[in-house]
Amino acid sequence: MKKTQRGFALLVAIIFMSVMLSFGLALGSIGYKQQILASAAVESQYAFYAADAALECALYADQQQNLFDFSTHDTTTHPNTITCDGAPATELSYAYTIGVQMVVSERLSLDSGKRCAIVTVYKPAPGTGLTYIFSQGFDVSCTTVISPPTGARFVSRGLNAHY
Amino acid sequence: MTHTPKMKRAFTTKRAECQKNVFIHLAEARAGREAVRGFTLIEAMIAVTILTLAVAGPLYTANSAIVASMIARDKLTASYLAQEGIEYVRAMRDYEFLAAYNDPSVTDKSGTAWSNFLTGGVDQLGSVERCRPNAITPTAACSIDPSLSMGYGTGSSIFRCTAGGACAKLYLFDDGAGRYRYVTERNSSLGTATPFSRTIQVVDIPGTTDPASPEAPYPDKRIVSTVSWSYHGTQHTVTIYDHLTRWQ
Repeated sequence: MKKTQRGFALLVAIIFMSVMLSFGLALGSIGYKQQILASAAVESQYAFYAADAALECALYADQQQNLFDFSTHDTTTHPNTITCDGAPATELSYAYTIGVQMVVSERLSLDSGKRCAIVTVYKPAPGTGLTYIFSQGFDVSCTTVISPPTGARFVSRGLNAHY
Repeated sequence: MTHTPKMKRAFTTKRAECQKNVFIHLAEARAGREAVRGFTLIEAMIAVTILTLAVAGPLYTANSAIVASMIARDKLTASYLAQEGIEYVRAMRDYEFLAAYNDPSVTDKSGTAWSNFLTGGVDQLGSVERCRPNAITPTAACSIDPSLSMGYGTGSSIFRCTAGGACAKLYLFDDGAGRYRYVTERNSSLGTATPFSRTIQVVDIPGTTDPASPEAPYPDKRIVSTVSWSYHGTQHTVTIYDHLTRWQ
């Protein structure tokens, strides 16, 4: 009888400690998840505005500079790259199908290399359809997008325009 | 060997004495004398330490969780406020384009609109001239109040305000019908103060040779919308960058 009573204090202590610990851990995990969700939402905004900035530059390149003019380019004559945030973009791919369409994909580094965006322009032969511009923004630098470090997490948002 | 009755009795007496001794010992122990003296202090100290750790650890975790969730909540609000700032500047750009587009006397719609947007001064409602840092005012920034009509004049939505200035502070206004909006000190119906302040800047791309000429040599302007707030003495900031061009 005496022995059971001695162990009772330990039992109470263990129960008390586990209740406190699970309480603390539960709150901790809720707080952590909220932090993750809020950060994801903010990062998503960054990615969205990277996409938007690249789209603005691409629209300017097409509508004001006529950079993607179908008739002045061919399979070997590539269009000049878009200029955005004071630097020219990097051409990723270029495809020209005579009489059909031209597809250019370019990568832009924005805001002192903090964000990245990839713009793809689909230019049909004159009078055969609409111009499509797809812009995909990332909340990280182009270096991370090109070769993501192990376990890297980043957000991407896209915008498209056609006319 | 067989036990004689005498021997047996002697044995019994010894055992009885022994039991008696044990009882005396226990009694002493209960009274806290002799053998157990000092042990209770260490025991108590250890118990108190364990208890303190057991209580303080989870409480600290719980406290950081609450702080983290508060920061997360504010961060979400701040990101939407920053977004509102960017979208307001875009609305100003578009306003200037529509104004130029609808004005028959303007021949170069795109150029005029862009130039009015950037350098229009007080005459142009959609001008961000005062939000542009330059050599003379390198810290120039604006505060915007979307609840007011667009423009620079008293009671209008856009005005120069340095980062962290009282004019950048945002207030939460409740119209009584369950609708809330964030306003600035320019609005006569202020509402309650919030920890947030917001500034907008329209920045030339570094390397722009002539700030007066709207696009030399780069076509875009960087729009910087910064929302900052402090929570428990720590300063937090959400900054969104966008770029606008005169593509229209």
